[in-house]
Amino acid sequence: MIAISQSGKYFQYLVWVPSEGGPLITKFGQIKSPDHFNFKNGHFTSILEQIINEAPETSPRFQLSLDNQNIFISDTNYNSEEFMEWQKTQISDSEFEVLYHTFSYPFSNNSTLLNIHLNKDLKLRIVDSIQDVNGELRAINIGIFSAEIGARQWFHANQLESYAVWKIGKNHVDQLLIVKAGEFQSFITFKRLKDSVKVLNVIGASPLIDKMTQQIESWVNGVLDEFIHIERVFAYSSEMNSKDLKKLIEAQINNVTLLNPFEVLDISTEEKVNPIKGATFAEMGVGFRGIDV
Amino acid sequence: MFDLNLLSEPGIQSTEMVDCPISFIKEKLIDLPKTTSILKNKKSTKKPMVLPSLSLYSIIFVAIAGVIFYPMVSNLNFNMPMQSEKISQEVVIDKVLKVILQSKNDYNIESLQFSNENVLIRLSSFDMTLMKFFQEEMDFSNSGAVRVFGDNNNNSMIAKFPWKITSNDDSIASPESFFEFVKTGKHVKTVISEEEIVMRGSTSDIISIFLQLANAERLQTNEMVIHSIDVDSLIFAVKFSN
Repeated sequence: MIAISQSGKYFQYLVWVPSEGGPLITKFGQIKSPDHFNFKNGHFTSILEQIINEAPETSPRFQLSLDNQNIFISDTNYNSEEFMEWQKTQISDSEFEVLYHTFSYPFSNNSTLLNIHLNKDLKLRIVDSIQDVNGELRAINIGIFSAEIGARQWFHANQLESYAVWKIGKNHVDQLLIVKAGEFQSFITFKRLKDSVKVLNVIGASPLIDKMTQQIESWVNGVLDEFIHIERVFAYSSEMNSKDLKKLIEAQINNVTLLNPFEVLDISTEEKVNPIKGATFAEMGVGFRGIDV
Repeated sequence: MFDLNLLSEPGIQSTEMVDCPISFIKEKLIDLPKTTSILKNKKSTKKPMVLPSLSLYSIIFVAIAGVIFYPMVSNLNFNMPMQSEKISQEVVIDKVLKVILQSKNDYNIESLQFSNENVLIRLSSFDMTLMKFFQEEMDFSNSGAVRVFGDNNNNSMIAKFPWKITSNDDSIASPESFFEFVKTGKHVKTVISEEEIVMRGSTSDIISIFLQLANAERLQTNEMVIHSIDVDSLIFAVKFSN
């Protein structure tokens, strides 16, 4: 099985096989995509070929996590299919329907929908590339949502009453995904400023949003011992040598866990992986859907 | 928490994990040497001579077993539902592996049958609490496809998972093709017949064979049966395809 995650210019991959002790990683690495990378012009086929050459599998089976730059996210109130249809005609351009697939996930007692909009042509190009390498595509997921699967599969987050996945991003722009009682609550994008936090976008209203952003603000100001109101925070960054992630881990906040799959998964080689580097593989979670680790 | 999978049909999604793989994997044809087919033909000419006596024994055995076990069997409900068809085969393999691994300490594997439509798991144990715990762990889609029953400290569990024998072209048709993918190890006793290869070995040896088949992608090409004979010994039979 080959899990691939795209983050910015890089494609990371992780190859694993089933073993007596659970999934066993046989190969991992990253490939820099060419300048002006585009799924539409065969670049992705070349990325897949490079991964297959690195880790020859008899039948390459892929699970892919896309960078969230490739999609749009929105939320809508929901009470019936008819309402959805009416709302669609009110807010969206007819061209949008032609160009984009919309996948809607109900949450908050089915009263709200989280909508993921994926360009139809992009999906077709991905499938074309899979065909070019005679492979199989098992799933397409998105950045932090894939990392959340990792938190569940590798660190049993689903056994917690509440948890958050915190992606520390470039230029101090972070993402936070909050789950409570096994259900999606909120997805927040925010910017860490010198001594405060500025919320840029919110999907899903939750009282936890203010509490969490206030506590992140406390961390920015160096006065946070523990996140209250949430049982555990899983943190990671897709940036190599992220100084901010390092700073967060060194702050030794009681209930912060580095989302590093290598801490849990066995590797077939003796290779040691630096924990901060290991956490750049957090978005490989999609590759372990439904697998007990 | 929902698992996104943008390969699914657009629209409102369910909270259950969805599997809808898109596959362009090309089926590989195994070129069997001509001698194998000649051998097969030779063997098949002998078959009619063996069959009458075998079937006679089978009929007598089934009749006796039916008389002895009828009162017990008649109380059981074999109309078991299956866990969701959407469960991926990796998840099933993972669960099956767990069943084999835990058999060392917790229970006996009465049988683990991999057929064309399902994997039927039958376990027995003296400990009802343990069986109940294992039932919850196995019934991950809450479909009630895992049943526990028993009395007088003799408890059984039956579970059913979806399973598909994927391709006959890739299937193991002879001992030679089996040993292309598997090294059994010197502590495993092997008996080869016309229909199957039967191996007896420690739990770890049998798990090793199971994983070699999984890694060679030959786990779903043939019908298989596993059952335990004592605390740390298992029997693993792989049926050859015709």
